[in-house]
Amino acid sequence: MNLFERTERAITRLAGGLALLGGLGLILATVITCVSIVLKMSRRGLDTLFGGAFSGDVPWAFIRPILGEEELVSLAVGFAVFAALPWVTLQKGHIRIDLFEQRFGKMFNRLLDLMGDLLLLVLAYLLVTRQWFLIFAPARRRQEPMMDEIFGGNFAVIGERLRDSHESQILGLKLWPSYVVAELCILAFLVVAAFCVLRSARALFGAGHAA
Amino acid sequence: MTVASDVLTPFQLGLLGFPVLLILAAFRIPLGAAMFATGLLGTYLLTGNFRAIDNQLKSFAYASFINYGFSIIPLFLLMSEFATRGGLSAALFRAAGSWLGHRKGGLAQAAVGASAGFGAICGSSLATASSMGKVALPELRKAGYAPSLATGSLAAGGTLGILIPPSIVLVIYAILAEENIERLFTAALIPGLLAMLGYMLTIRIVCSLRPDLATQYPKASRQERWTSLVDTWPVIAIFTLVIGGIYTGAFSPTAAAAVGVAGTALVAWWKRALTADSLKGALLSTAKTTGMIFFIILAAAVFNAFLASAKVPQTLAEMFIASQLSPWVILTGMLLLYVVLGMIMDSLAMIFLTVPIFVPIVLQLDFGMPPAEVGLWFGILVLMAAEIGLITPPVGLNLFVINAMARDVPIAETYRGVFPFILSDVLRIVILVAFPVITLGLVRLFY
Repeated sequence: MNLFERTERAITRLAGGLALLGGLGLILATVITCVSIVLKMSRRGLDTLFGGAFSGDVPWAFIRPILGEEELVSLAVGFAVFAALPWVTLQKGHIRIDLFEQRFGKMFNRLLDLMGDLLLLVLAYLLVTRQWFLIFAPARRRQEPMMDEIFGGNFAVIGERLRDSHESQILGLKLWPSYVVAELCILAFLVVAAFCVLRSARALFGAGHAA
Repeated sequence: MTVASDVLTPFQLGLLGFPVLLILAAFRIPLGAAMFATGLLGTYLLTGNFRAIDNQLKSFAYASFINYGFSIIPLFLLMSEFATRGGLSAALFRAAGSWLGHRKGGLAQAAVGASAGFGAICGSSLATASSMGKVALPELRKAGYAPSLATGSLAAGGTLGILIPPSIVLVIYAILAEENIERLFTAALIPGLLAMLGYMLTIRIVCSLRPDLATQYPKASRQERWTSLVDTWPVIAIFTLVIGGIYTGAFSPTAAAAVGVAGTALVAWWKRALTADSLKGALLSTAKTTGMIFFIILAAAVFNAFLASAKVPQTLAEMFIASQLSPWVILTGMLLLYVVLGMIMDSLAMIFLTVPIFVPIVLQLDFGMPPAEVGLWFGILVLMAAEIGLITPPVGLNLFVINAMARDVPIAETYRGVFPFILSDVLRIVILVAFPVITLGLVRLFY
């Protein structure tokens, strides 16, 4: 197994593993929703059947739909979506319009594959470097870029600029950890996109056949 | 002052976005990447600085991925995966076959009916075509049906996966047009059933013109019929729970999709089809489609922000109104464009490209209905017109899916077989355009 194949295996594991983790997010969202619906229905049933017997609090007051169900579901599903991005890129799953594919010829098609992958890489790079500012406020005048602060270990400054003031509306969850997860997924997208550029460059320049 | 303003007006710059995008796409750049890049570049040229695009890159992904309304898409995709693996297509085909199989061409009608049934728990056309094809194609061939009729009716039947709610394409229309998903699903029900009946009628007409294309099965006994129908109870239960839940407002569409995932997963598990491997396969396949759709949703958000800041939809709408063209002519032109584009383009790609432009125009036109109803009606028409693209040569994905299963049938034969169904589609769209009440009746009744 040569270096390229080893890299390919590692990248496939990374993207596939992340996509499966994301799939667990979908399952979690399903469970949360179903449990919440069951709780809501049983509460309604109990209230209609026996609710008249109690004037104040009913003894089953603890049975109620999961608070902030929608927030939890969107976070879990959102993770699945972010985690799917590297996988679809690795699997060449993005929609292309292949109307002229037959007419273009082999080499030209490979060149176009490379161009497409390069564009995806550029977009991934832009996303990684800009989405970063969801987590940390951008530098104002007379401030160092965030990376310099992190490498310098200036924790006070880091804490100050960490956007921990963003909270979810119902549960009041701190949102910055979800920003970090989203950024990590986009980072994986960048890594995979870089590998795809390498892969299509190899196909174009014929290294694939020698191996 | 902006970079480009001395050369072009913002509107001209916005219009220029389309040829750029189409050229990139024609050169096989992934459509999402092409829309994303064109949108960023256009916004930069419009504003002359990086502030707007930095802001989009920072927050658009998070805002469109972590969104309760959009969460319905991955859940419906996973539901379709489980439904495909749960072996429900076989039960549906057996039931439909025992009721219809004794007629001339009845088995092909059964395949259409079973596809409609499968479409009721599956929101994807390709998944419906492939899972019904696997079950019904060998049976149809064994029964002596002509290959063209067999492949044609299965490819057309597959489109019922998106025509009958739940439907991924309709959800995407709802996102792009900012329409209400519950109402769209309600509006889609009768046109979807009409599509099924139209396909069945088409088979009947084809078989009476060319009796050699089909055969007849012996009539099933009454007991066989009812037993086979009872075997389809999981489909009926899941459909009632999911779509009934949405229609009655018992739960939100996203919650209903989660219920559907649970239901189809339970059925797959009960049929012993849910092993660790098949679960992994279902999750990975869901991830692939999810990533594809959401990357385009993100790209479309960027591209549409560019169009909106160039005031393209608004200006175009004003131009169409000023042109004094009859609204019906404009509508016909749009629907014809879908049919033409559908021959060369994926139906999702087409919807992402056109809906953000067309909907603002259509909502301004006077069809003698309130705009809220026009939005729903147009959504169903777009769905129907875009779906034709799945069965029109040369690039009809359903045709490829079915043809790949019948290796001995030349693709030209499948093209010929699907032609009567395309006629049926066109006729149905004409009827739906002429009689909006077919689409809007249930909505008016429910809401």
